[in-house]
Amino acid sequence: MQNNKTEHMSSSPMVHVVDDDEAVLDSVGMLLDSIGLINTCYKDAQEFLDAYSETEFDKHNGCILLDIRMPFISGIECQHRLEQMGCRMPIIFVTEHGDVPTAVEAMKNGAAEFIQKPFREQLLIDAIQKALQTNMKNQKRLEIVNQTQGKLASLTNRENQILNAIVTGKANKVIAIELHLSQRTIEIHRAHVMDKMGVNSLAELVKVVIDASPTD
Amino acid sequence: MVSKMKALEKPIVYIVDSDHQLLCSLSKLLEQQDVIVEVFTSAEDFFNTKLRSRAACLIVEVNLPNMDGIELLEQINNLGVRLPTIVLSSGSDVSKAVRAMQAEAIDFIEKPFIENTLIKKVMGVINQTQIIF
Repeated sequence: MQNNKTEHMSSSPMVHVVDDDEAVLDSVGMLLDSIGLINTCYKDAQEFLDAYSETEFDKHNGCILLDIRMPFISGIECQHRLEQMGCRMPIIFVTEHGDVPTAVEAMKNGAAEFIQKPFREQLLIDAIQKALQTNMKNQKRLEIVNQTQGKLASLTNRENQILNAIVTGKANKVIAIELHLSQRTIEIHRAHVMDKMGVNSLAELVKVVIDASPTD
Repeated sequence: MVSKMKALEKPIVYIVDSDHQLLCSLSKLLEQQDVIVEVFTSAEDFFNTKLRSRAACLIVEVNLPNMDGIELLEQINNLGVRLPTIVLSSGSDVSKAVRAMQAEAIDFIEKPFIENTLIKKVMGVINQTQIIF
């Protein structure tokens, strides 16, 4: 709960390994140690979910290795719950019980990989490295989006209204008529919007707003 | 003339599969839904035809001679074309399912499947693409 202040980019990534088979946890843990990846092992999904919700670690920088068949909470269920909790760390499923429908479901829900046991060690390492890289990129993009959203939140209602009108390509004159304001007032608001958003041109403004919009 | 104009606006579905019987029955079912169907028996065959921009959906079998269905999908992606794709598979191979989904297939369906379920899925895909454009 306390060390929220340490920003996520600074720390090295953490690989979370969730499997009910101790032998697997041991061997995967050792494999990750051998290539210098920091990892934490959990014996079931609940233990991991608890740790996740208690903010004991950096929730952004890392990836999750999930077994499918575990007592109480399955890997797929765990994936759902993590999504509901807003977790964006990539998930790599590692399972002995892989069938096509389960794999397809897991992938549709956004899993990065679905690996069947037994696997070649290099295959897992490659998947982890790739997932960590993707995550890093996503985090950077997200940070930019968050910054923009912060700026958007600083706009007053009126400024917001005018921003939406500008972005849809309306001229000041048109906006003035629609909002029953003078053109001069619109110009002033518009200047404030550009200032608060930290942009110098209409093109930049549109780009920033589009980049921050939720649709991918 | 009028009917020709109408035909031009119908959505196109491509099917790539070496199984003639499947091509035949799926085409019939889709044509009943007012969809134009174009069939191909191999990936090469598919790429030798000029893709049409209003194509709404691709149905492709994983196991094709030479280039497989996933490679075909990856090539389409590399071209920068976004063609919603449903991958069919005659064998249940988890790693192929994963590869297909990583190549952004909409779904991966094992054969044998219930034809109506597939048709519904395809129509769903078509309706979504039509909204976007």
